[in-house]
Amino acid sequence: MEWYRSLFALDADTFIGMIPNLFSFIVVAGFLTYLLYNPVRRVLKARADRIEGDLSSAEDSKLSAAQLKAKYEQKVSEIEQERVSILDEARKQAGERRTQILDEAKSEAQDVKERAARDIATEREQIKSAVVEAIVDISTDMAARLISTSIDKNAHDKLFAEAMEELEATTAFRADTVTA
Amino acid sequence: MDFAIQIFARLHITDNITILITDTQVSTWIVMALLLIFAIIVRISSRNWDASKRPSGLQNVMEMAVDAFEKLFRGNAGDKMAFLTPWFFSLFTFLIFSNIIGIVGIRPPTADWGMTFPLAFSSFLMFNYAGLKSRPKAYLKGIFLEPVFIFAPINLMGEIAKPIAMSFRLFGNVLGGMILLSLIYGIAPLALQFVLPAFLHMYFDLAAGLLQAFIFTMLSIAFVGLASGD
Repeated sequence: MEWYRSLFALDADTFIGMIPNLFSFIVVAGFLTYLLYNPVRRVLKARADRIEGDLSSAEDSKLSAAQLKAKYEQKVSEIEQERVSILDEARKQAGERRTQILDEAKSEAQDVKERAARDIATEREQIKSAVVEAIVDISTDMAARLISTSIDKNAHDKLFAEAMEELEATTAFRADTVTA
Repeated sequence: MDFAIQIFARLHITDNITILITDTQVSTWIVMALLLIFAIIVRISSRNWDASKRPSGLQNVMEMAVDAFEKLFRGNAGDKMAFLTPWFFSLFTFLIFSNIIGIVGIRPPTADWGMTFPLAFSSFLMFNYAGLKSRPKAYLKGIFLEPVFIFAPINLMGEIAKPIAMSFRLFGNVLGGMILLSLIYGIAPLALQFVLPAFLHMYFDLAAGLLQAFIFTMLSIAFVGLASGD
């Protein structure tokens, strides 16, 4: 019985021998797939899923942040509009108040002025009346003196001078009172 | 010097069918055992692997290998046939171990056409399955009606030649390296047998072995891609 085969032969032994060889490889493929390839692939898939999840989460966070930013920007814009509106309103109110205060001040000043003018006119009339009264009093006094006593020329001049001084003093007193 | 395949036992299934247990089968079982031990180590180790932590050591190597192979497969065969990736990953791993086992003095299983042809035939089944599953009409039209129907026999011969060519390419390369190294061991003086073969093993077993494993797998994947239309 032969215990050696040729290196290459297309005979029945060769082709029958292929069957266990193919079966051996199928068994090896099964072992390698189950024991080696699948566990490694599972870890790779788990890592890929985790990275994908992280990326997805980061994308969601980015989207959420963008939405929040847009919301804040809108609020800031609204606040800016409100600020401008409040300022405009305040300016408007301040302008109106200013005009009102000015008008009131002008009106009050006009009143004071008119009142002062009225007071001056009244005082003037009072002084005039007082002067007239003084003149009348002095004249009456002079006339009384002239009639009751005979007076010479010097006495007459002296009497007249006294009357005039009295008149001047009365007028000056009245004028000081009005000025004060 | 005899490079013939040694027969260890004969299993008589029936009167006409006898399965020979040769050194190809024995070295295949050794490769299977090594792969099984390696796979079990990975499986046990993978229980402690955490996807949320930075990979290191064996996890890093395995993740890199599987990820790179998957990208290679998807890049050449498309996403539709991605479910076939474990099969071709196993084929590539098996071929690497089979081709480089000659370094330790074991006859490579792939130095037997009786081993390389079943592997090529399995790839042949895979790329025909891919073509018939993803675009049956276009795939069959491409074989039987293009460019015109009279070319159908030539196209059929071309399809049948694919696994035969693939199997002979791998078988010839591995066997050639094995024969050359055996001759070197036979003619080299004793002093040189510890130095010179080491470099030749590096080339014929390691470099050529890895290269042939890659070529065989890449051709299979490329045929899957062509058949599926991706």
